[in-house]
Amino acid sequence: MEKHKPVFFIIYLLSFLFIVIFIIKINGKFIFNTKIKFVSIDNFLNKKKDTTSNQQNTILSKRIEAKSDSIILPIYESKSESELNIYIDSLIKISKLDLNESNIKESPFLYNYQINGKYPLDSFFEKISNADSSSKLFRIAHYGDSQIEGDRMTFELRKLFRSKFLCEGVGYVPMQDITDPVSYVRKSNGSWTRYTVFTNKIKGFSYGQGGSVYRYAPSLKSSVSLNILSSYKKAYLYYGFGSDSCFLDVYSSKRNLLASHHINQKSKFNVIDLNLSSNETNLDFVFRGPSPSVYGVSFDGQKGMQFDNYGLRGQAGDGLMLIPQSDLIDMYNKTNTSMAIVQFGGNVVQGIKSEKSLNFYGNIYKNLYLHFKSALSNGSVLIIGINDVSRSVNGVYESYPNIGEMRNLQRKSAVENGMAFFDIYQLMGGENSVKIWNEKGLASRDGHYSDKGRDIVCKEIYKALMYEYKKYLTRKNKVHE
Amino acid sequence: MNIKETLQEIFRTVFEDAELQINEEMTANDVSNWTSLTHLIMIEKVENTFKIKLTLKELIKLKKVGDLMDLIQQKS
Repeated sequence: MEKHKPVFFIIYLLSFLFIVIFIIKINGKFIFNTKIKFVSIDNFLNKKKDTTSNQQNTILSKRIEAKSDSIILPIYESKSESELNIYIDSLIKISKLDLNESNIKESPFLYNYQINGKYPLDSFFEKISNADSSSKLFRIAHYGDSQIEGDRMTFELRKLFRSKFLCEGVGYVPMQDITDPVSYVRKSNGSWTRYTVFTNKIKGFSYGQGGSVYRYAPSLKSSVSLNILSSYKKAYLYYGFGSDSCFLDVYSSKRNLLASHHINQKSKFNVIDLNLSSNETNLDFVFRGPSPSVYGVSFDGQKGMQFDNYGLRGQAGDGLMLIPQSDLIDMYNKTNTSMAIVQFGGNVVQGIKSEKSLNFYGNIYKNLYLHFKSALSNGSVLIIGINDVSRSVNGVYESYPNIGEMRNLQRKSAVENGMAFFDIYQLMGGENSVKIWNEKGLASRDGHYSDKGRDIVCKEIYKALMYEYKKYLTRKNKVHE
Repeated sequence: MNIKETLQEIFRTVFEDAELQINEEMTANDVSNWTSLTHLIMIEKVENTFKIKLTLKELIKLKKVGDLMDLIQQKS
């Protein structure tokens, strides 16, 4: 009997643990004010959930469908895990094809619906069709969160458009950031402070069109060293509230003075053509005197187009509404910005816990999109919707609930108000797709794309736009016949 | 329960500013870290602390802290 005691002990212990598994539910129980979590019976038995019927986390039982006179927006069914695998494998295969005419087909993910006789992207297409002959470069402002910060995604789009249109340099470069960019190397020296419309807000001064502004303490030498990883022909400084004793000197890495400028314009937003005597890729921007509000610099072609990256980590995008309409219109006019790409949503998933919070964000996004639409009355706005995001639920990764519903609201607001919409959530495969994207090395579980994932997504966006561009050219030629 | 003092404590916790002093005219523009994301967290705390429920319509109408204080007063 004595020698069997350890065996009996193990059996009693296992029995006790099995009882605990059955009693304690997934979300834990409170015992003496302490929440206890335990492995669920499904996890213990390693049962995989059937994702096609996984409606238990969806708060809303009805789908939101947008209707206008002639537009009915599709509603999608969830794909099974095996269907997602097949679908995503096909996306990977397609991304390896050449980007020639025969591979550019109509995209089910891009909505460019005619409203009041006008297609949302026509202004953009008109610009690119005239880009080579026009003397003035036009800009596309790409706003988003950590999905694009550090020039991610924007850099890919720039590269894709460069294959067909004139698009040189790296566009907008902020003086400081919390992430390392992919298209240039930056070192901020001295005492720069970054203020944004989201965190560390500034009073009494203005923000640039990207929602940020940089100021330095004049008692210390303040400079920014840049290594631009792409050739360019023109460099610009964007600033406000200059002073008579403020100067900017731009040096090459060999300490040759390439340009010197008086930063003395007092108005909110000014653009200086830096007129560098040589377009070096290693530069030092040295500021002397009281700090102006520096919005950033840019490196561009002489003409053609340029994509500017305005990535703001961890944000839903609503802070950009703190930039007054009049300021945004003024800045867009002065920089010749003709299109805004607005890509937010991933950061709101944790906050969508009820119909109220879902509609709260729906209202926020409607207002945000209209903010850009009003500032670009003669331009185009492309909304890129929310992507799939997952989190751990008792050790198993599942998509956050209601992302599809959030996408529906974003899509509705865009389409009904004359803006184009790209459905990145559906491109990924919809509910629980990010799990498969992660397994195939295309994205992290929280939805951030890897280099491979970004390549797929940006190519799909580019091809979708190019197909619509072809349709625009056909329409334009018919009008002139 | 003093509405302003209690609300101030909520604001200090949610917006991570131990020195924050709220006033009726204050808006999101006056407070770093006050974004839509933290706004919903703040509203949830307000609802739990004051034992009230705010509708979506009421949330959308809020323009400044004074509006929120009036709403809490009305519903408490």
